Amino acid sequence: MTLEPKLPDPVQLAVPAFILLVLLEIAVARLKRLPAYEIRDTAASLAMGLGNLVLGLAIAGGVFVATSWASRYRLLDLGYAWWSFVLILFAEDLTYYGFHRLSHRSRFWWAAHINHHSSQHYNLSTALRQTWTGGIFQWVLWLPLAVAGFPPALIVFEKGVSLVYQFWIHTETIGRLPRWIEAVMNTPSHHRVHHATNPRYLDRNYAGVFIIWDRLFGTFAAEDEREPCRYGIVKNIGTFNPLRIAFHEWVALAEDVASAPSWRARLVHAFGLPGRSFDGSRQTTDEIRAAWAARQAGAR
Amino acid sequence: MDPGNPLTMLVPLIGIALILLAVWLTGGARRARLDRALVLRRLDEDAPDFVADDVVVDAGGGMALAAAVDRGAVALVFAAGDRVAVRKLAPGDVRRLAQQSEPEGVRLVIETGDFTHGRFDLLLPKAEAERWAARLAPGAGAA
Repeated sequence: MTLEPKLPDPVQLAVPAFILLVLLEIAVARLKRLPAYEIRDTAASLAMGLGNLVLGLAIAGGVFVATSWASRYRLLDLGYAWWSFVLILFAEDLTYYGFHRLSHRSRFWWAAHINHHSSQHYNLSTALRQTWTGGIFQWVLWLPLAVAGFPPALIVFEKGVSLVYQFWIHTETIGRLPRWIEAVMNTPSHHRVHHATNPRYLDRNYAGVFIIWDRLFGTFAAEDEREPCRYGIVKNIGTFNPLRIAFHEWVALAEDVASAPSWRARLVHAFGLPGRSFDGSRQTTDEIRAAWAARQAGAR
Repeated sequence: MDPGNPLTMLVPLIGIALILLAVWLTGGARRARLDRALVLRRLDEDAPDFVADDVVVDAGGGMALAAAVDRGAVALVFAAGDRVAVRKLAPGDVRRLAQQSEPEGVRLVIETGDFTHGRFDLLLPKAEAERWAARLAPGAGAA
């Protein structure tokens, strides 16, 4: 029989540290005369974070019940041994990589994730610009961990650890870290690339904690000092209203589906690559990268 | 997270207030001011296939219009806080166009269906406002 330890909530414990680190980054940016923070952008990011917190509390019970239900069909009983904590660190991170890649490559998932990328700033407050809608369905991708045999409480704990880890990498105040860290871990440099809209950086570095998954699956791109990151999304939003930030891509998706001429087009608009169009009015990230590569080749 | 613990919400709310105060005190309430060079640079970055040959910036520097060299297409470039956003206008995007006389010139009001920023207004000299209004008018072929 496995004893159920009372695991702490890493996110709740980290909230005071989040606040202090943001204040520290504001001070550092001021000293370095960097335009890191803009008040309406920061307010929007913090409102998105607060909304995510409230909505997360509202649905946490249901998600835990669903995960516990999946756990009834577990293949193994991995329990809370020390090696279970090590194993889930990697298993959860691989799950996160898959979730994150899907969130950039399928419009339905992108509609929930886009708001995290919607700021043209890249600072610690951007880390808190979290989804209001993803919590409703994103959790299904973590159910296989319960079926594999990880206890639901351990899965929730590890998701919290991953979220806390990913906070500090949203900054421009830290440059490159020692080579061995950059080789294995997700770092501010790697994640700056992920948030950049420069064609060469689009849809790269989906990692959560370990960058090894991007290196393994061919989605890694290194930050190039000769090409500074430009942050935001391909079509930057013009609002700081949290409601519009949270729902703008859902509205666009619904409009595209409603006006699509066929069921195939509706499915492509709903679940295909973000940016896919049938009239050439917009581009997917693959098309943007290909056009950029063609321009580069033509310029040589 | 413990929904029954008042600190669960109180700590983030105090934190938000402190952060916003710090941003305001360190000059965070600024706004981008557009000029021709910034407009052309942002078009080059955000819409590299849009080569502008005609640009007008409104009197406040918060908004600009650009016309493409080849197809006569029009793009809106506007300040979003201290950053800039770009909208290439497709046929049918302009839903309403109006000109309002003001002592300093004419305010050209453009309404599109954009969910995140649907209303744009530029204060321009009268002749400029009329020239761009003709370009943007639904059916003019420019927008």
